[in-house]
Amino acid sequence: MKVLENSVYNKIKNNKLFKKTDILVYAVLFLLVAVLFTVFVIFPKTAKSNLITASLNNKEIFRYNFADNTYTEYEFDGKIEITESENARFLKIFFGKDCKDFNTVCIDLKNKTVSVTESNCSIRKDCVHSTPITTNGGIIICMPHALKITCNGYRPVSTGGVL
Amino acid sequence: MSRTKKITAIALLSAFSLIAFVIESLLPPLFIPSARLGVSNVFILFAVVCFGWYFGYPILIVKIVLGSIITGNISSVIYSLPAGVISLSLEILLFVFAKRISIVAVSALGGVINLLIQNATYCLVLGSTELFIYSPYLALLGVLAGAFVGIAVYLLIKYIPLGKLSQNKQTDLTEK
Repeated sequence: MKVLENSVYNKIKNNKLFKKTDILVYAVLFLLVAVLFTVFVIFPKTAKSNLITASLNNKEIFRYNFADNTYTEYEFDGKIEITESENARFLKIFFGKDCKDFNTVCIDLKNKTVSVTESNCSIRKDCVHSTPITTNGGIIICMPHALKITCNGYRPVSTGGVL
Repeated sequence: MSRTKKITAIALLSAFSLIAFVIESLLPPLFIPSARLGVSNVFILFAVVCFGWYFGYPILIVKIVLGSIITGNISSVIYSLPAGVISLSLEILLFVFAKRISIVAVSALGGVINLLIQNATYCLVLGSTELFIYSPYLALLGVLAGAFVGIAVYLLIKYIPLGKLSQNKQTDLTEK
């Protein structure tokens, strides 16, 4: 190992950026990317769906249907505040008994999209920057709060029961 | 290089890696969750090449644990730690057993494995397979980011004079 330390450093210092054996690694990576794209992007058949479900830790907390404008709420550890405006409905979801963490979900009735507008999860706020969900499908995840909002039109190829 | 010098150098590299991680997390994310450029991996790979394979792991653990505390997202330790350890181990194995592969390819492979395992951990924890829709984009991003990290490490080693590290004497890098 001690001889190797010297040789690894000097080997990289004296060698080029690209070697012939690299082609093998790049070919494997290219194949992996191509397989992933065909399996998850090109092949899945998606159907349009009007049903939006939100779940916390895999338990459903609310459900909204664009077709008949029905909204159902389920029991969970926290509460939801609803503010309605002309074209949109804002749901402020509070988590936990002390209601410190929140996510604000905006259901746009005119454009039929769902997005997360506010959150106090972390600095990056992945959920706020995610693309809005449309009736074609999509998913928004807030990892720190374990909140998941999906549109049931999306059907990924199943992993064969691995998970 | 004396033991104290090595430990100090590793501590400095950990600090650089942590700073890079925190600054990167301030940048606005793409539409994919947890997709980032991975500049902190430059310092980890640099330590592995110059000081020894066993020095990559402390820097990785410091970066992940302290980084997630600073960014306010402590649950991200569960997702980043296994991915980081597995991808670093794979890169080290490639260094040791496959000497003909350049560092750019090794780093690209490590980047892809890191992001894919993170994605798989998300799916496992959330209990749904719907998050796999992001995996092709993550794989592509992993190759590009990993290649960028590999090129950065190569340029660091080639053009920055590092004094004692570049000598071919065996005693310089051993612990006494």
